[in-house]
Amino acid sequence: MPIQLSSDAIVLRSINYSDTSLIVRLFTEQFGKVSVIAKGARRPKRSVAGLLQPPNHITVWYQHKEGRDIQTLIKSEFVERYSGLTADLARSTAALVAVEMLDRAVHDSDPHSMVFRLITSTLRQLDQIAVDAPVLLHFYQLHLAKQLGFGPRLSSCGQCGRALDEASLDMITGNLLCARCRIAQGIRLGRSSLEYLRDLDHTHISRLSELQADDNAVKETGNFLLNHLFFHVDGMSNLKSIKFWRQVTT
Amino acid sequence: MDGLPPSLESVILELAKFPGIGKKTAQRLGFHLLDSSSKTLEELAGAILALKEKVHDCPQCHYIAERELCEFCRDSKRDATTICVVERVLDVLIFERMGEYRGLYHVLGGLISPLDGVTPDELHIEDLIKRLPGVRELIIATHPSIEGDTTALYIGQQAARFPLKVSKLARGVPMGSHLEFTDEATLASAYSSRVEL
Repeated sequence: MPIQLSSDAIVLRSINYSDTSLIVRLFTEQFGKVSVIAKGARRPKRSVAGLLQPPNHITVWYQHKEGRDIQTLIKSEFVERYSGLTADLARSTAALVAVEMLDRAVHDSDPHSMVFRLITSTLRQLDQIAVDAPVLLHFYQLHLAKQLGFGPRLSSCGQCGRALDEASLDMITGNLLCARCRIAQGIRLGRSSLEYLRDLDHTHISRLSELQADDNAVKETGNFLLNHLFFHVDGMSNLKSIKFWRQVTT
Repeated sequence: MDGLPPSLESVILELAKFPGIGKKTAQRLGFHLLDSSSKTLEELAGAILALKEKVHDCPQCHYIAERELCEFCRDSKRDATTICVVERVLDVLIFERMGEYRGLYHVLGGLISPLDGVTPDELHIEDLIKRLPGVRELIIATHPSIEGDTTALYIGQQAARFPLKVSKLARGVPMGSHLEFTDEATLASAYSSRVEL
């Protein structure tokens, strides 16, 4: 017997289905990742396709039937419109990278309210223009990893336990290693990059504009965070949006 | 399909691959072809084959052409200082139906789609940039979607190094429609780009 459910949600992906419908993947606050079919969503007289696009923050009402992979959308409406994103290429691309990472990092029907808060506040900050898009994306990546239980240990070496002043990521164990323990192929994190990462860890998202980091630290940290996520999340290594993100930010 | 000779079955299967053609329509068309004369079928087959042999991409704008350049690029009466950028060949026809535009076109052959891994180098954007010297206005007429907006922003960014006006189609309530039936995204867009009377 189908039941009607409702939740706030972020649109992760929207795929055309037949001439008039859409299959939409959502990250809902209450029920985790859910796929729904929006029948007739692309009909000119009943077009809600604009609403069902990544990375919109919407409320959805849908019919849920146990054992069904794709539920049926009843209706949807905006919670927040990120209209600022449509005016800035780096910000809109960062938003798409963030939702693709989320899509790959979370599982179906596994709700995570803290991750939901993280993505909505990241999108809200991206929509405003106070903080650089790469810094916001780094903040998001670090805290996504922490919320999902694989945040990097930034204080001490993963092998000998010594305090870290610079580090490298060991892609075999996923640990940050000190200068003594590091291996040749590790992803390097210099002193200023490590400090920048620690700042990202301790700063509230609304105060990120106060962070200071040189270009090299931002670049190194971006590389480290991406590789850290590649190591811990299956399927993250073939992230499609990252290629365009690199083009936009170089 | 039960009871159908393999030749007819294969025609129906091929026809069903066309956009907007379902199984029943494909069957109806298949039987119509079966009832047609050999001459009609030869003409149809010839026309289909000629399509691939004669029609090609216009090297300048990537619209379709039978001669070296397409009919728009060849037409000296059109305003060569204005280029309208569209996603697909079909969009040119839709724009032409409006009857008001007299400039040239540029067909991108797709849209930048970060989530699908489609980047600018897979589209005809580089060719568009090469056409920009001497152009006074670039009209970006991509679809109102995340991919359309990303493409418009990217082209706008690339075109910024040229002294030209870059515009994007406005979004609003369709003619003959009613506010009651307008979705929130369109209405919000129409509101933010409202014009002074």
